[in-house]
This record gives sequence, structure tokens and C-alpha cells, in this order.
Amino acid sequence: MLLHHALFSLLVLSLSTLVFVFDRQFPGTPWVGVFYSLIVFMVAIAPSAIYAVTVFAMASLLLIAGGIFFDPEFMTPVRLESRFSALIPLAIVSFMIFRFKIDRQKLQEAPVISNSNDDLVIVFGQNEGSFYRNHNFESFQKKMGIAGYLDILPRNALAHVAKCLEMAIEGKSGSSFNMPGCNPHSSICGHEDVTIKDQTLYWRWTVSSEGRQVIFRGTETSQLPDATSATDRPVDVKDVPESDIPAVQASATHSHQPASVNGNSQNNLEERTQELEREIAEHLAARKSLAQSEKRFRDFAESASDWFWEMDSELKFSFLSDKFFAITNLQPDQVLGKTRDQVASISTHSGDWSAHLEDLKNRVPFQNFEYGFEAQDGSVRWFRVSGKPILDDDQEFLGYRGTGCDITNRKKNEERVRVLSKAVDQSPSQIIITDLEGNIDYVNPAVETFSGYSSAELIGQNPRILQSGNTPPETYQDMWETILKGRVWQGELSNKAKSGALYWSFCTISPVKSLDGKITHFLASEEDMTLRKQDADSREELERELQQAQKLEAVGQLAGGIAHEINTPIQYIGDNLRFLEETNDDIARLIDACLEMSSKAQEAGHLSDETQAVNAICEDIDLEFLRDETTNALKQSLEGTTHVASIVRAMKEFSHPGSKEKSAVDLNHALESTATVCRNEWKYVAEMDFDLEPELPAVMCMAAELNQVFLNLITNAAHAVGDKGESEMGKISISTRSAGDSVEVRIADSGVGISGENHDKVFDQFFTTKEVGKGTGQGLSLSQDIIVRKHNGSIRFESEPGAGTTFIVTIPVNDQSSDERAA
Amino acid sequence: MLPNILFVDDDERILSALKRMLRTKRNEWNCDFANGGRKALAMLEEKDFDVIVSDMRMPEMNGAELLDEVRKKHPGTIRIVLSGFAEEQSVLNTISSAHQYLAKPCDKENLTETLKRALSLRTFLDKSTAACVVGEMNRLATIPSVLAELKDEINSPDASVERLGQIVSRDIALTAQTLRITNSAYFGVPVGVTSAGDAIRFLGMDTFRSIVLSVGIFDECVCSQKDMESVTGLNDESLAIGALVEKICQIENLDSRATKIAIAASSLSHIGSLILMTQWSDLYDDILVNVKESGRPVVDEEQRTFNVSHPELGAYLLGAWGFPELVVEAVAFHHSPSESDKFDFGPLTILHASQCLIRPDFDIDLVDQVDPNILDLDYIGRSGAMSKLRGWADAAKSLQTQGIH
Repeated sequence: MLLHHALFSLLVLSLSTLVFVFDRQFPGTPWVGVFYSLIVFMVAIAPSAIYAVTVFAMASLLLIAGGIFFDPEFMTPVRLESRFSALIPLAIVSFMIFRFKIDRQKLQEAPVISNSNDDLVIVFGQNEGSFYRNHNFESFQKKMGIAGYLDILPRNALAHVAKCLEMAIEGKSGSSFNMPGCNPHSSICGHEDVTIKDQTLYWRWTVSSEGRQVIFRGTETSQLPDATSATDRPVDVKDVPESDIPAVQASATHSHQPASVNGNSQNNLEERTQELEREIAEHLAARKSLAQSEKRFRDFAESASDWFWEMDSELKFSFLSDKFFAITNLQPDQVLGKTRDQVASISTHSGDWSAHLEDLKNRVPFQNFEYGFEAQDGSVRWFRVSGKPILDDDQEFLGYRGTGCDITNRKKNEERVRVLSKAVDQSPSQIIITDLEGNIDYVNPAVETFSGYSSAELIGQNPRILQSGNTPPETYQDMWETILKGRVWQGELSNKAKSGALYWSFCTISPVKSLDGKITHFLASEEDMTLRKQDADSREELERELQQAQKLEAVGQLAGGIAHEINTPIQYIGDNLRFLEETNDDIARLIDACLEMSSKAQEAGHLSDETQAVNAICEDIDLEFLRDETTNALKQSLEGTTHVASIVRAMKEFSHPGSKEKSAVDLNHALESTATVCRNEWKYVAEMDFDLEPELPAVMCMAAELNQVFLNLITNAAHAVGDKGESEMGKISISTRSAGDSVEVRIADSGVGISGENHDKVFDQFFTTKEVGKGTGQGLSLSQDIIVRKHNGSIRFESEPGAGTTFIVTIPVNDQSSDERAA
Repeated sequence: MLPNILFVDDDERILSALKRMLRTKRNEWNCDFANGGRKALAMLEEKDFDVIVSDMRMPEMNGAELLDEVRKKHPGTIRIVLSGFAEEQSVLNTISSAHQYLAKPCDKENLTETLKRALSLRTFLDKSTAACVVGEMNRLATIPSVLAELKDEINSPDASVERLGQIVSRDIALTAQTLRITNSAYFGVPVGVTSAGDAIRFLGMDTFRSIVLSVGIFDECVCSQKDMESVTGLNDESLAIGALVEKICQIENLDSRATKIAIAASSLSHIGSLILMTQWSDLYDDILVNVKESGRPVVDEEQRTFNVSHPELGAYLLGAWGFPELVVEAVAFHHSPSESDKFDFGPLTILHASQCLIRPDFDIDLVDQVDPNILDLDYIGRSGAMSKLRGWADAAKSLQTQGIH
């Protein structure tokens, strides 16, 4: 090659030189023209574009240089004109020729059609083929991977094609052939697919039953073989309706003659062409029905909500219909080439997946494999796929194909139903579902728990088996009437469990209707209200007590006013009695003096009638007795009023409304007061004595509350003594002592005592040993709360059953909390 | 001349019973009985009564109104309420108008005792101007800042009784008023509470708060700006005396009851001065100047100017307010103990000594040269305190150096 280039260059240069010489030496001779032509010729046949340009440039430069050098007048306009006037058409011609060449090179440099599938690429193009045929076919063929090159002459297209086919079929390649003047033939190559891409025309065509494809490629302006015209007529591929393209018959079995093309083989060619035409026609027919069948299936596919998928032999997706991409919003490059488990990206290690992958490995058909697919936004969709393996004619495994659909909604609904039914199962309410006649269809576990019957025992039965007989029949009647009318019924039912135990249920029964509005089932939801009923009872009890307490409080409030009301008469009763007492003494003096006088008179014998009358009166009224008794009466009456006054005072102090704040209280006084107030509780059963420390420091406390505590303790003591049931009077001792910075109060009784087993329960709320109706058992727990929590004190007891109990209350003198604050 | 006592009640039976009950006293007292407020006022116009005892709840005019009128028109009459009415608020209402409060039913002993004591105050002050002044005026000057501090403490969420007691103790007026309230048996406070702190403890925070804030008795007593200095001086002096008295009681191991009385008397000893100061502040300023210059006992100066001196005034007021007798006595005679005719060692002894020892110019070595009007050595000797004086003087000095407030 290099040799060529070198020779070429030399030639051009020498020609250019010769031009000079001859021009100089032999002006006006035709030699210049000849040499110019030669130069043009060289340019035209330049092996490559670069060369052409270089040569031309050199030539021009040379001429100019030579001109300037040799010809002083070279630069004159006249001479220049004559030179360049020849040069310009020369350039034009050269470039036209050159362009022609470039076109060809474009063809040469066009991309190769991939033929990894054994597709043979045959290029047919315009008339420039001959050059290639003869000279560069090899490289051309290597580059393009073509089996043959076909120079198309419109009318001879088929022959040429046939030839190529033969060659293709027989695997011959590399031979070039010369086919001038092939048989005119009216048929056109059949084609499967015509595509124009990048200015290149592609025809794809399946040849024979072997499935090999022949791809014809040509430039866009290539001409379709046109049977009807004898001349070249450019036809745009797009304008040719398919129906005008006759079928082609290609005979694979047609033996072919080698490529020696001459008149003899022309006949053979014609025969083959006809065969081919026939085959092509068959093919076209088959293709048409295939196309129809395709259309049919395509319609099925598009109308279906499922998608279709195909996998290759490595189980990688090779095809998915549009539906799939529409549903998943994925791009094909995200799915194609991946296996199913790679695409799913969710838990592909579960048992189901293993089974599925086993199936795929074993290449068996599978149906309804469900799997979860994680979308890009994190949501999960569920797919169900079925597939069968693809086998070729030799039973070779090619892959899988099948359908798939999106079952996300269905799965969601399934999940929902599962959750709901679990809710019903786990509900603490008892749920019974019966049919229209009341036969039990379903019971949840709560029913089993409460009724004691198992689910199996209940299903099919009538809820009647739970009746205890305590619910009046009217309730049931009402219930049936209501629910048969389609309304909801609520009420309380008394049920009997299998064990016989009774329990109360608050029942709501509602009818369940089908879609057309007819009642098909009844749903009973029952809440156990045994506890509630108990609570209601105890709440009633508490309300009663609260009323009682409020009444007492009202009385307490009145007590102050009552005390005042009593005080006034007591005041003057007392004052009057005092007065009478004193008067009595005065009058006694007077009587004594008068009696003295009377006796003196009697002795003297004066006024005997009067004195006798006096003595008689003295006798009659029993003066001694009278005087004694008057004195006593007055004294006792005074005592009585004092007593009343003290009771009233005690009551007033006791009922004084409590304050939230603490104040200093003399506990001795408080204890005496309290004992006075509740005297009626203990005076019949016990005697009370006080041992109170005289200088007991005043204790910072809430007086009313402490009084409450003392009252409670004294009353308990009295009851304890009373419970002992002895005929003799018992004893209650109250004592106070100061103990460091606290004060200790002891209330001891000689009652029944507290038995060992009750020791820990004494301060429990609601614990009581008293019979029903006598006390709620809250007294000691309240007392404990008051002493311990509100006063930072302590309350404890010592007891000996049968001998008595002593309660010991200790209260700090100073308010602990405020001391802390002060500190 | 027998003293006159007027009893007022709307219930005739009460009045009759009282009349009968007091028959035995007919030789000692002149008792009159009015059936209602109007009648009582009419009778007061006609006759001069030493004591009036009235019920609270009466139609037309209740006890508080009546006693208020009496206070204005006849300030020399000692006013006592005798009532069975239980409501706390109404009791508090009487605080400004009545001196003492007795609760029904009141037995004869209690009533006669109270009347006797009230009448005995005549020995201190007869129906002179001073008595009228004391009787009419419930005002005692309080230092505004102390009152404010008291109110703050009461209003604070963690008010403590202890702190309140401390604040009250710093001011004569507050102390006197607080103790006055607790003297009345109504509040269930044991008789004889003498320290403000104890009083508040017994009253309880609620009641005390109500007294200070809603009844507002202390509000009347805020002193004026120019008097503030003198009042503060007086309070400081009382506190100083109180501190020394307490210390001496400790030294002498006095029993708690006597100690309490001594302390109460000491803090209230100059209440009379407070009255004089507030009522006649200009005159009193002159007196103080004179005393400083001449060194004469202030009692003498007061006597000259007003015809009455502060011990009597104080005793009268405290007596009218029902303070324990011992306290009244101690206050009455703290400058002239011999007049008490009692020479036992007790609160009066200590108080008398203290008021002298507290003087900055007192020198124990020169005790013989002290003006007998200031220190009654005879009395000191007879009550057995002579030997202890030195010790007490040292205590006084040490307190001074400590800088007690």
C-alpha cells in the first residue's frame, strides 16, 4: 500500500513539474492541459481523502511556486487569470470526483450489524458496487461481516438475492460474483421487517425453516427492486404498501451452482428464483396468519389485567409486557436482565421462595406463586405469577414464560380480615353469632371462658343453654321482637355457666343483614357485668353512707347554733339557782330566828295559839326534811346546769369546723371534751378515768381531726368492753404524757382484745369485726391517715385477747413540716 | 361611793337572773339592768357607769354598735361583752369596741372576778382625762415597716407561726393587741398566754390571718412619720428590757410561768409611754428632752405634765384588756415597786431591776448613788435581790456588747 502511495505522490509531483517545464518551454502547447488532467486523475484515484487533498495542494503550490520562480510575470493579473482560470474548474471537477468517493467510504465505515445470531448481512447498494466487488470486497466483508455483496439492479434483484441466499445457506462467503444482467423478475423479496435507521435500510428476513435470518441492508436511497420498471427508479421504502410486496420463494433444498456466472447458470437461477418465489409466497401466507394470531394474542394481552413475562435460560427476565411497567413504575433497565428474586427484593429467603426457586431450577411449570415486591417508595405490592418453561424443538431449555398479576389489594383485604377476626377472637367481650333461628354459628374464646362450655359444645346449640332462669321471660320476648324487626336490642341477662355459677351480662344483640337487606345472622356482644353490679351495689352502699355522713355534718353545723341556743337558758337557769341557793341560806337564817322566837314565846307561854300553829306547820311540812332537801335540790340542780353547760361546751368545741391549718391545742382538754361528747357510748359499759399530765405542752395539730381520732378510739374501746358481755362495768383509761418533743396519748380498755390473726388488718380500710350495719371499718384507717400523714405522728396498739387493748397515739409537739420550711 | 355597773341584754330572763345572782354583791356594787341598747344609752346619759356588760345579739342595736357608742361617748367606762353567740367573725368585730369578752354560760365566779378586776383599775386611774383617753383610744402606734413585714409573712405560702411570733414581739402595739385577743376565752386559748408566739400558735394561722388582714385592727395604729423615731426608740428600749429580763430569769431559774409573766410585762411595760407619745406627741418630745438634760426620772416628768405616768396608764389599759393580774401589777409598779405592797421575789423584782440596769450610764459600783426614783434599793433588798444585782448588771453589760436589737 505504501508503495502505491509513494508512487502516486511521485507521479503527481513529476507531473506538476512537467507542467512547469512545458509551460515555460513550450507555451501554448496542450501539454499543460494534459498534465492538469493527469493531476485530476490522480486526485480522483487517491486512496484516501487525505491523500487527495495533499496531492492537490502540493500540485497547486508547486505550480504557483514554479510560476513565480520561473516566470516573473507570473504575478500579473493576466497570467494569474489564465492559470487560475484553469485551476478553478479543475478543482471543482476534482472535488466532485472526490465526493463520489467519499460516499463510498461512508458506506464502508457504516456500523456493522451485529450478527451474533448468525445473521448474515448482505449489503446491497447503488451502482458503485463493482469497485468493491473487485477490489475491496475482502476488507468490506470482514468489516461488515457480510456473506456477500449484492449489487442491485432493480430488475435483477431477486436473482441477486437468490444468489446471496444460496451462498448464505451454504455458508459460502467471500466470493464475489459478477452478475450483469440477471433475469428480470417480477417478484420482490419478501421481508419481515423493514426499518430505516441512520439512513440505512434494514430488511430482515427469515430464510427457511432453520430460522436463520438474512438481513439486507442498504442506504436509504437504495432502490427497491421494482418489478414493473426496467429502469432504476428510486422508491421510498415507506411508500410501498406491504401488500404490493409479493412473496418470495426461497428453496433451501435447491441445489445451487457455484458462483461462476455465465449464461448457463442463468437458467438455473431462474428456476431457483421461481422456487424461492413460491416459498416466499408460502412464507408470506404463514406470516399473515401468524400476524393475525399475534394480533389476537396481543389483544388478549392488552385487555388482560395481567402482564406477560419471559425469562431466558439463566432465569433472567428478557421480556415483560407494558402492563408490568405501568403497575410497578419501574424502568425496563431496572428489571430486564435480573432474576425474579433480585427484582422482588423482599424476604426472598422464605420457604415459599425456596420452593419456587426449586421449581425454576427443575424447570417445571408453576402456578400462583405469590411474592412481595418492594417498590421504590418503600411500599409493598404483592404479585402472583404462573409460568411454564420454554423448550425448543430439541427439548432444550430456553427459559420461562408466563403471566403475573397484582394482588396487593386482595392481600390487603386478606390482612384486614385476619386482623378483624383476631380482634373478635381476642375481645374480652363475649361474641356469639347465630343464624336466623338462633342456632349458634360462632363463639369467641371469651364466651368459652365465661360460660365454661367449649366452642364445639356451643356451635349448633341455641343460646338458651346459657339461661339461668333468673331473667324474666318478658325480656326474651322483647329481645326477639326487637331483633326480628331489624333493630338492636340491649339489656341485662342472667346467665348460668356450665359449672352452674351465675353471671350477669350486659347484652347487645344486632341483626346482620346480607347485601339485599335480608337478615341472615344475629350478632350478640355481651359484657360481663357481674363486677359492675357488685360495684353498683357497693356504690349504693357508699352513697347511703355519704348521705349519712352529710346528715351528720349538717347536724354538726347545727350543733354550734344549738349550743348557743341552749347556752342562754342555761345561763339564767344557773344564775337563778345560784340566787335561790343564796336566798335559801338567807331564809334559813330567818326561819331559824323565827323558830327561836317561837320557842322562846312558847316557853314563856305567850301567843300559845300562834306558837302552836307554828309547830303544827313545822310538823305538817316536815321542816327538817324540807330544809335539807331544798338545799340538796338546789345544789344538785346547780350541778346539773353546770353539767349541761360543760356538755354544751364540749359539743361546741367538738363540732367547731376544722381548719386546714394547725394550731396549738391542749390535748388534755380535747380528750375530756371528746369523752364528754360521746359519754352515752361508754357510760353504760365502762367507767372512765383520766390520768392527764398537768403541764402537757400544747400540740400543734388540727383540733377537729384529732378529736375525730379520739372519738373513734374511745368509741371502739367502749364497744370492745361491751362485746365482752360481762355484767360488771369495764374500764377505759385515758392518759397523756409528754415524751421529748412529742406527746403520747394512751386509750386503754378492758375489752375483748384483738386476736392475733387480725393484728395486721386492724388499720385496713373496710376491715371490721363488727356486724353488718354497725360501722364500716373505716374509722381506724382514717385515724391512721390523720395521725401519720397529716401530723407525722404514729398510732399503734398493744392487745391481749380477753384482757383488753391499749391504743397509743404519739404526736409531735411542733408541726414538722412548717419547721422544715422555717429552717 | 359604790361603783356602778350596767348590764345590757335583750332577754329579760337573763337580766332577772343576773340581778338575782348579783344580790350578794349588793353592798359592794350598784348594778343596773337595761333591756336593749337604746335603754342602755339612755341610762348612760343619766348616770356615770364604771363598767358595762352587754350581750352581742340584740335586736335593733347589737352589742358591737352599742359598745362603739359607749366608747365614743363614755370612754371612761370599761366595756365587756357577755355573749353566747358563736360566730367567730362577730367576735372579731367586737375587738375594736370591747375591752373584754366573756362567753355564756358564764358562771358567777368568773363574772364577779372579771368585774372585780375591772373595777380595781380605778386605783390606777380615776375618771380623769387620761382614763378617758385610754378608754376611748384603741390606737397604739405601730411602726409601718414592722406591720408590712407582718403582712408579708402572713401572705407568704410558707408562713410559719414562729416567724410571725418573732415579728409581733418586736412591736409593743402588735404584741398588746395580739395578746388581748387571746385573753378572751372565746378562742379556746388557755388563760394566761403571755407570749405573742404562743398566742398565735393557739389562735392558729387562719384566725390570726383573719385578724390581721380582714379585721385590720392593726391598720388603725400606724404612726405618723415624725413619731416614728420616738416609737422606734420606745420599741427598742422595751426589747432591750425584755432581753435582759429573759436572761435574768434564766440565771435565776425562775419557773416557766413566772418567766412568761416577767417577759410579757417587760415587753408591755412601756405601753403607757406609747399612748402618751401618740396622743400628745409634742409634749412628750419635750419631756424626753428634759429627761435627757436633767437626768430626772421620766415618770416624774410625765406626772408633772400629764398628771399621770406611764406605768398607771399601761396598767389600766392592760387591765381593761383583761391581761393576767400579775402582768398588770408588774407593769403598774415597775418604776415604783414598793407601792405594790408585795415584796416577794418575782417578775416585778426582775422587771424593776432591769429597767434600771438597762441604762447605759448605770454603774454597778455606784449603785448606792442611784436616784431612788430610778432604782428602789429598799425594795430590792426586801425582795432578796440585792446580792444578785451584780450578776444581773454583768448580764446587762454583756447583752449590750452583743448589740441586741
